[in-house]
Amino acid sequence: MTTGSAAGAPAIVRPVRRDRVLGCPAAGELVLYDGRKRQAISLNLSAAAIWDMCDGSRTVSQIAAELAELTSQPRHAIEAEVCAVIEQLQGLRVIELQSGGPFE
Amino acid sequence: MSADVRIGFRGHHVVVRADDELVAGRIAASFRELPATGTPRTVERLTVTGSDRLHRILVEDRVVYSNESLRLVRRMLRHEVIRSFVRAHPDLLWLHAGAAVRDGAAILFCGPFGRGKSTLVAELCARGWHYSSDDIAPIDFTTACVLPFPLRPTRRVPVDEELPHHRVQELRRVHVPVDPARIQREPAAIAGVVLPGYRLGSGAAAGTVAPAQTALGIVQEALNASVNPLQTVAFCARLVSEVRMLPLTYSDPVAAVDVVLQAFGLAGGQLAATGT
Repeated sequence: MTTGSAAGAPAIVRPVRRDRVLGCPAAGELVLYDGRKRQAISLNLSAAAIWDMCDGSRTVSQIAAELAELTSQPRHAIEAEVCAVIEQLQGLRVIELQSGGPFE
Repeated sequence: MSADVRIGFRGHHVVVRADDELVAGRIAASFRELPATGTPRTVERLTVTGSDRLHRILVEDRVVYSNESLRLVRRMLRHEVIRSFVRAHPDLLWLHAGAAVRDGAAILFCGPFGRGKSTLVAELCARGWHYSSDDIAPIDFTTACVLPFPLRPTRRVPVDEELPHHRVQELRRVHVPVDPARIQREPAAIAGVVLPGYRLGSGAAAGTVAPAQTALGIVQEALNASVNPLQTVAFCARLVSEVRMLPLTYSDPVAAVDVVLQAFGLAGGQLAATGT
């Protein structure tokens, strides 16, 4: 996933979990609790795996690549799902997208 | 003439004073298995007062409910007594669930009103299980054990039509007789949680578990989740991880309990509590 920069050139973004959100494992899946919003969210197995990788060290493409390797699925198939989940997590404001840092 | 009813649970006493003897008698009957004994750590006083025109419930000196219908006031009084215990014990997870116990291990039936929790608890009790709770189950966050909260059990009488959820409360309730010797007196480890749903003509069928969604569903049934939200979420997630969960759709309680016992490996065998 990329975002447009002010100059129009794409900038690499790295999703990172918000500090205030706690992940509670639930039989392989995950329940997130947002302490500020006092809101809980459930993540299924694949969304939970993506959440775990949102530590600010990986780009969205790198997350997709790692998951593709872990699940032996084609990367292009995984990438669409990763992007969708990242967008949902961002919409729920449990992650933020950090731009900058080293390119892939 | 006023009558005082004293109710106790884990060091908290609720004293109910009611002008109407029928109100006092009903509340005493509902909570007769929770007598106030010993010296309380905390006491809260509830008063039911009023005339034919308007009846009120006061917690200490604050009016918390008023209505012209004494029947509705009686029902709300029961809730207010429970709320008093919930307020007094934030150290417990107060779950909207029925519970039955055998061999020191409990099966919980968790869900909102109208799902048939009481009916399923009654069916297990008819098979020799001990009655622990009908509708509200307090759970110790630390030990993950369910504590007995044996209010006088009632169940709704089903009708031959599918009712929308909001109309389920219109169904007539009848008391379920319980042998006093079969009332659970000790905490019990949670061996399984059933998430029942009543559907006319469905017989009984187990569903599949979506763990995180199930954990959230249980959180929604916690009466005091807003007091300890993080602890509640973490506990429910852990519960789903460590205890067997069973979504269940049913219309036939006998078949439903057969499915529950089969799913938990209890059909004719001994119960092994998982514990957390």
